[in-house]
Amino acid sequence: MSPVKRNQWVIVLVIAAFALMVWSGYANYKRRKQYAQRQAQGTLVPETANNQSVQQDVSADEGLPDLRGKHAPDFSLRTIEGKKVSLADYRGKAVLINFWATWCAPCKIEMPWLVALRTQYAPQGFEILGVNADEPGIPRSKLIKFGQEEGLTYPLLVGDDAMSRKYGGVEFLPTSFFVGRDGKVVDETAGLHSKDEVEASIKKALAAGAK
Amino acid sequence: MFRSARILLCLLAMAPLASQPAVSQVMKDPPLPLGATDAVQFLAPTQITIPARHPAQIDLHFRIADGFHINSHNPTEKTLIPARLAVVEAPGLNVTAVDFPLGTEYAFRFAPKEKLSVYTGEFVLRAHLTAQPGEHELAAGLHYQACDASACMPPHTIPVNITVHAQ
Repeated sequence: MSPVKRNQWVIVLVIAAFALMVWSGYANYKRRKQYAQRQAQGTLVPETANNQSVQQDVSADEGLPDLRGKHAPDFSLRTIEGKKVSLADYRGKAVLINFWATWCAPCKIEMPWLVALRTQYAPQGFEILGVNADEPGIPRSKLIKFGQEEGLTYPLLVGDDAMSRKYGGVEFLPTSFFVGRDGKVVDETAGLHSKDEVEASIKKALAAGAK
Repeated sequence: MFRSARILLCLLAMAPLASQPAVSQVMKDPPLPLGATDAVQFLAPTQITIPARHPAQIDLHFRIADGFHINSHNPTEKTLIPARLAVVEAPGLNVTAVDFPLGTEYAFRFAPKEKLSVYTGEFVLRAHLTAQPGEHELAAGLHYQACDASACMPPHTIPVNITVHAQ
């Protein structure tokens, strides 16, 4: 190749690299702007200090650590009745891991939806694990009573710090992770979303890894 | 030719820096995002003078960050955590009662009929107290549970410290 032709190739590559930088810079700017807008609206986001054990990126949509596309961290907890439950027990099923607390008003709004959606999609291999995020040491009897009063039919687990750290610290409620049949997180939401949005995420989880 | 190649290598080395996830950068840099810690702020007073051995009142001013609310002292449901003021007992200083304002109605989207009783913006608690002559430190804590339009933070307590001069 002649030196002139080689130089032309180099110029083309330089221009291509420059275009790549401009594009990524613009994408970066757009995401920053969206995040700043969300901050200005007073959207709750987790404090970074509590998320240090999690190395994931942060989802631009929710201010959550982005677990989407990754294997849902395994955990082993007790139900409010004392039975040991692991995420691994639900291998092959679509699972909604829903963090909630007795004092969380928006959690109570979505609970009847979750009960109905579980009834609807359980025959297709769907389960909900409700992970309680009240203060440690809350009497289990109080949780059992709450579950009965709210008519919760899905397993309610007693959460702990170690487990919630695996999911980014879970600083605000409700927070949901939708796990596909293949064990990978397909969607995650923080705060109250519409029933339709929840259902759409459940369908996504059922479709992921389906044979 | 070699100069061009060096420029190219530099640009290629810088490209990954430009494409780092933006939000991660924001999250790492101060200031920290708004959390329960700063959803409510005690504004005033930090010191006050009252007549000694006579019933007196102090108005405690608080501000809730824009876009947030906290449950009032009388939430509509028993499972919700009310705003409370816990006062540390101090010799020569006696807080006899605290008046809380009425809450305003609030409903989350998707449940417009489920009304909550909340405080937003600025609110004032009125503390009734008596004090012996001298200087006293009124140490208290406002316990609250904050939410924004769709999500809630765990309950939190902020300190309320006031120097009371009784004369």
